[in-house]
Amino acid sequence: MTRPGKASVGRPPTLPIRTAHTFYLFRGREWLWLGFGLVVAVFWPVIVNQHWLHVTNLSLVAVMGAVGLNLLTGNARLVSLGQAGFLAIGGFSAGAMFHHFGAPFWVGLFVAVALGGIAGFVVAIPSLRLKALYVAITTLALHLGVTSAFAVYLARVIRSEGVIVDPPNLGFFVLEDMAAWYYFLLIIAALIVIGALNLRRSFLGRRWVAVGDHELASEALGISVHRAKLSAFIVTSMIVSFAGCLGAYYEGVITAGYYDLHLAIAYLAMIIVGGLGSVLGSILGAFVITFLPYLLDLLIGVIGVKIAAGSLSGLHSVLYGLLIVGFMLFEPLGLAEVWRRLRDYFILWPFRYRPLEQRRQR
Amino acid sequence: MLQVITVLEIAGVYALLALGLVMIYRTSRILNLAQGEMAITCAYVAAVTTGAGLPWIVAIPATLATGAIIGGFVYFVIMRRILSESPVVGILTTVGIAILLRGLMVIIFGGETRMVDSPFKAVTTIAGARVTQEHLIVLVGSWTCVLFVIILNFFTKTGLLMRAVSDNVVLAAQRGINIDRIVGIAWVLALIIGAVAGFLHGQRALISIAAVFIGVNALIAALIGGMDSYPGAIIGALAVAVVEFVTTQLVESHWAEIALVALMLIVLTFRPWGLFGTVEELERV
Repeated sequence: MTRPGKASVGRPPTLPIRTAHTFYLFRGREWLWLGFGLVVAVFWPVIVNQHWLHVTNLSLVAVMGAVGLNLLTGNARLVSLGQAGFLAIGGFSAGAMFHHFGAPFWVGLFVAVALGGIAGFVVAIPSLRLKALYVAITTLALHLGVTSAFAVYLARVIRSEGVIVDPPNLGFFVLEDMAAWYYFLLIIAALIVIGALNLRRSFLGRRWVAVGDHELASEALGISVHRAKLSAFIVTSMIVSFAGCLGAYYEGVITAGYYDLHLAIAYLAMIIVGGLGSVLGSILGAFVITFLPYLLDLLIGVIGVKIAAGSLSGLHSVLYGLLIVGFMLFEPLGLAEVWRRLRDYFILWPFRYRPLEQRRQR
Repeated sequence: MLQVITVLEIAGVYALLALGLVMIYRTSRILNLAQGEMAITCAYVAAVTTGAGLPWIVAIPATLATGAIIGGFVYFVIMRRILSESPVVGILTTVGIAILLRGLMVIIFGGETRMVDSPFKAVTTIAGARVTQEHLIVLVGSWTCVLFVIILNFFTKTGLLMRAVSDNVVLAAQRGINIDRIVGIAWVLALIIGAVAGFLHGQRALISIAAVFIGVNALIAALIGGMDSYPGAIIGALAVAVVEFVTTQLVESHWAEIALVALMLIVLTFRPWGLFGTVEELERV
């Protein structure tokens, strides 16, 4: 809703409320929430034990990957089944740099991001001519190609099950401790999240959304669909490859078996459960999906049922599947939307709807 | 001769799955990424029933019924609610169903490698090639079924209605065709022929979770042929089978998947609508 701005000299007219979120990252009460979250985040390693800290670290890596995937699949509406492939590119390029040249962490990271960008470019080329639907298949092709290539690489060149990397040396200290990793990953993930929030409001991000919403219409409005798709693939696969590299260094060993289709589907589950096209959704989804198997194991341990390891992994798959299908059917906007509704409910109580003027979309 | 029979066998199984994909895509515009999982679930049922010593006359209906139940369930409970949503929603939902079925296979059947028992083990000689009857059954069964689908589509009333729905949904609905029923029939039929494919695949190979790759290969076949063309699906299946067989023989099975993917990318780069697909398809969406 546009408010008539006061045309007084020396003071810019009030921004229309609807577009205000395009100009500020956080406003008003959101800073308060952010402060609270920050305090919890800083003391998190004290609150939880090593096991759950490990799970948190995995979630933080997943946040980075999910943010990248969500920009591609949620915003530009290009369904990617190649997530595991891009993660593998990040992991294996860092591993190979370390194994063959003894390259430091930063070099591996740089190479991973560069190769990720190149792979994104290569995948994007056939997808330019294809309907959005078929992109899923070309990215699946990338996944199959990359994982097969790395399996061959491991068998022929490394001659072992996996590549082992040393803990990264940041120059002033070595990342070995779980808590050190936690703070490191937290900072990087926060940077990526803020970057993604900003990216979505930049000319690039808005073009991606436009092309994702309607290709023909955005072409008619003067957006180059080809360039938008290319840039979407390149930028997001760089982010994902970056996450893959960090994840590989965190694990310390890079195996081909880890990067299977199941991983790609787990990432899809993250962004669907969290909310397609929402950065907050990527964060929520990454945490929920990463914690879920561990919480399930905990629950099974508490109940005391004995389940074979094989059917436990089956149970995880069933859970992922049910979550994907359930959210697609009943809440396509994901946990981000649930969160928004819940927040509105409490903020507005005893009223049910926001006054029209204050409505805004995020 | 033996090579020709092998290629035709593989092609038959892929053709059935690809026809199912095309049938689903034409009527509901959903790219079913769970086709392989669905077929292998049915194959597991076949393996369990024949493994329990039941004759084929029980095992085959049980397998087909599983396919029909999965198809009916997936369409009437899940897909029907999201038909009007964007294609992205549909494809992601099938991914969810795929992973769900994988998990169920692990839980129910233990994820083990199994085989479909066959009473036909004898060896016959055809044109100088010694072939076991199992393989002949795959060959004859799959291509008979392909023929059945073609006849169904082009020479029966149901086929006519399905073609009408795929040509123009709105017009079909205005002419009094029950869209819901037709699309439901298409899903159930597609899954039944998928079950046949799973059963026959169990005749010539072992059944395991890894066997869901036949779904990916069938998808490649359907995409090469054109997602909305039945003859295209069959030609695509033949092409996929030839490429897979040749690369497996010349290099190793690991490279077959890569060769197939390369073939698909080449075809789709130059003809995004596939070899026999309709071009309007691309511009409408």
